Amino acid sequence: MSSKPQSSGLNNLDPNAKFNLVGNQAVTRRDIYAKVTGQRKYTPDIGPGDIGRSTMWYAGFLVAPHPHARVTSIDVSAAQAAGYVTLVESDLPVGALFGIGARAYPPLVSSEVLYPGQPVAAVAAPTANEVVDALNLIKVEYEQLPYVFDAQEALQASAPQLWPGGNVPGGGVGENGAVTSGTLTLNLGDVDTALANADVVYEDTFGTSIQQHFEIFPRGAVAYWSGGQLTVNASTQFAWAVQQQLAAYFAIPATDVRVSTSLGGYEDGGALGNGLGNKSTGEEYVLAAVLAQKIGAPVKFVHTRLTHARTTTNRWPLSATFRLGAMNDGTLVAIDGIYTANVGGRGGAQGADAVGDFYNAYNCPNMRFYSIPVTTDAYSNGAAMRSVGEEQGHFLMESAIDELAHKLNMDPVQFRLKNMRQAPNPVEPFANLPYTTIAQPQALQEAMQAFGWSNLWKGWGVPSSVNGTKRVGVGMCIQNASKGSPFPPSTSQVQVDPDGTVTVYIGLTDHGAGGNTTFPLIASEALGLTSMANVKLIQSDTMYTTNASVTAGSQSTHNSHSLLYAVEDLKNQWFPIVASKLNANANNLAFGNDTIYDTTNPSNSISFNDAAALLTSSIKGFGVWQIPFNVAYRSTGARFAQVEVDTETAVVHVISHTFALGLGRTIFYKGAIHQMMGGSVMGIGSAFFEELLNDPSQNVTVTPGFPSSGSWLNPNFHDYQIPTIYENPDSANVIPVENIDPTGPFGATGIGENCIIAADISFINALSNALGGYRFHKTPIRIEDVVEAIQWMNSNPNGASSTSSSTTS
Amino acid sequence: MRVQMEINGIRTESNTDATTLLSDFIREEAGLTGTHAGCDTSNCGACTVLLDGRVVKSCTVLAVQAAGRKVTTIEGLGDANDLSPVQYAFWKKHGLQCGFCTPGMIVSAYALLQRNPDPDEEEIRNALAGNLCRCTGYVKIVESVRYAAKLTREGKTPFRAAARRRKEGEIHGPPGESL
Ligand code: FES
Ligand code: FES
Repeated sequence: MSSKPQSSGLNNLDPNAKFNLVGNQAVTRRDIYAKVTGQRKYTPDIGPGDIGRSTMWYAGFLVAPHPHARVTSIDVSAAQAAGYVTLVESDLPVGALFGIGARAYPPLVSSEVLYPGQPVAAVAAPTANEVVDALNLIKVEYEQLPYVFDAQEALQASAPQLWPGGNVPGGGVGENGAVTSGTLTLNLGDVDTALANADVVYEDTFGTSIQQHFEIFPRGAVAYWSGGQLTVNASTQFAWAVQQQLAAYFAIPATDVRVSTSLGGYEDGGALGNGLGNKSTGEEYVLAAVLAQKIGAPVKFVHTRLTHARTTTNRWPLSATFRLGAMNDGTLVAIDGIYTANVGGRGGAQGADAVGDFYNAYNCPNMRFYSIPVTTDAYSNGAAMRSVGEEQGHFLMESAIDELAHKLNMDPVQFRLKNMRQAPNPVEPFANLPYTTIAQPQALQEAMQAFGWSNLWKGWGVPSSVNGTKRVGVGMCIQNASKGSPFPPSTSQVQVDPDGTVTVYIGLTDHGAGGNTTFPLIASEALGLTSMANVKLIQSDTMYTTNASVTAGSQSTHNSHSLLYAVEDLKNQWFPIVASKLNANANNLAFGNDTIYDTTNPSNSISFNDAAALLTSSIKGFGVWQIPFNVAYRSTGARFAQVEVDTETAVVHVISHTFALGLGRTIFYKGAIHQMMGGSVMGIGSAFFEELLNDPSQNVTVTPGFPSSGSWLNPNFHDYQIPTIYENPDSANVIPVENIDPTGPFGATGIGENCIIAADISFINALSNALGGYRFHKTPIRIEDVVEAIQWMNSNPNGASSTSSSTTS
Repeated sequence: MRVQMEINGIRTESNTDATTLLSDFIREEAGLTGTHAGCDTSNCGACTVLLDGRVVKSCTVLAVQAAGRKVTTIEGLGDANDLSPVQYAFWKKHGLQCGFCTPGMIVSAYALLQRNPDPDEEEIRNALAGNLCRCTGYVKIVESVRYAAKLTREGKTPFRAAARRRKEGEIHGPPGESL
């Protein structure tokens, strides 16, 4: 590895090290008592009394039901006459834009609506019940414009122009049709020659659909002003970005803006519900603050399910056309991939992340990728949803790779073992960056064994069992995903009080992943403590903590590495005092088992609490951690699935799932294992049901009481189905693989997004195996797609062998 | 209009609109925010409470319909010092992550065990089918309910809250059995 990992001196990277708390299976979530008793306050639970006020107003959005329209008039007079406070774009500071990604935008529509669900007006009312009444009093007139939902159609010259010069954010399409910028092109080796010389060439196109986080708790915020100072209690994974954007919006210093997740303060800083990448920045944080300023009272905004689904962010649909070349011995020699990302009405220039999956996952000398983001009216904003594109990218990649192995009539596991990037010395090929660690081939081998692949796999298109109309198939895939990127340095603080209380201050939040246990756990381990009973946590509050970047990208455990430096700093302040008491050299002192002891004479020791009592006042250590820039920071694993399909009803059931993931080192054991289970089940939704739908009809007469043509169809839990308790597999076996990452605290890599990435394609590959080797091309695989597969299988009784005749060159 | 009901054994009376939902009454008037709201289509189950001992989604009931009746919310399942076996089991087995669905899950599971202390897996799934969770994949939720059933059958209740006095995050978790 070219970059020498930094060391805090406390970072124990020994793979066989024994720890008190790290990886300890008995450690329980710290917030669990509050959650099982209903005491935990989430953003909607914050009342005026919680923030020391006597009143609170409640706000909501009026959203445009049209995909593309011009706002011709907005009449708020009736709402105002009824005593409600309204906001339209012209009420907002001129030029104050809000947003992330390629496109900054005003938080309310200025003239042109670009997607169904774009906020047009906001209102506030003195009671929550009246918000809907207030919204109903606002009259908006629209002139509907032609719209485009499909990315390929949006690239045609005749398509409605949503982004100047070709609907490609950040760029445009030149006269000859060539895209001028906003795209990504990568080239390695000589793809054309390699394809020409390959024994087998396989070409196909795959795609995904618009999906939405649909976390049970929608996004929201409570905003209030004290003089010129603004406080926003927001359900956000990124308090720091919200603080910066609010400061910029109101043109006030960031120090006058306090943003905290939920109420902030002791152990309540992590109560934002699930985040899944949706809870970053949002227009409601700004609008609640503007309304609060106007009214002079706190304002609470909580999204309705409709506005949550259609106004916040979404997982963008991604499609790819591949040409893959291989030799008869199974060597992968060429990958040619053209990716198109439909990024929605105001999505950024996304799409590159998913391309990175492929060039990282497989070791191939000739690779060429071209990726283009396209603006459409289909939905709001293509952004992170439990990964930034990798979830989609893995479906595309592992569909194509599986089918190539099928064409070669090679065991899919053997194909991966032969071609996947693995130890020793894995390198990201385009920028030539060494990996910090890789769990392959160990993850694949362990998962394969635990699953019992060799007994269950009967060949391409041959189910492992058939019982009447019930067919059981098995399938597998690998995963290799980026783990965020080197953000600005992550910082934290650790304080010790004379009474022995430890307080951890960290700017990262907890969206259910377990950070509020992981962070104090890491600090406690570094302090040599055997229990976290006297360790407090203050998190994700810009007033008390320091910047630790975003709680996303599976990187917060990694970013909490700063805690080891904070403890190091604490040592430098504390050990000289302890040394004089012990008559020892401060440099020889160490933490261990609730003591501080002399490493040259371990019996010369003092208990942690007695050592704290030597302090006359609290001391606080400050830690800074910067992820190295010159390494590839990847999460790797493998999945196996067993899926049953009833050919009479087309009902699919996931029987079992085995998932091995490289965690570097498991820090908070229960949290990690349970996330792996939860993410895998979430992948069942991605594979089989989840798709945010629009009415595709153009310019039809609007039915009174219904939204117009081109509008949303399923922005609710009734019509957008997420997995219920019926869908969870009979058995979910998760295997943490310990592949020490020298850049992580105690060798940890992090987990989060990797729990869902590739889950869907493992189920789909198994379903394909049950149905004669039928290849599915687009997620979600709906029941009608399964029916089609069954019909295909029935008319191709030798399905697998008939399709294994490959295109040979 | 004046609406009065008994919530967790406490008489609660308030002036409220005829259109106020029971979920809003519980949250806003009684100030019990453990009953959550995750949707507006009666699908998520985060708002589940007991009305005269029977499971209801409180967003589907008007406050006036609950007038004069007994409501039990998550806050009423254990008393101030004790946890119900279901709460204890969700703690012990980690039947939650973000915790937003948890009050509804626990109330549904509690009602199931009241009427059937020995449910099989299918009965557990049927009882919780109206409660959505986006975090856990339900694996640990099913396990928590099974464990709660076992504790209920063995008469291991209530769980004195040494549980409460023991600080959250202590390595040994709740008292009872060693982990
Ligand atoms: S709030 Fe979702 S079911 Fe009641
Ligand atoms: S624990 Fe988060 S929704 Fe269930």
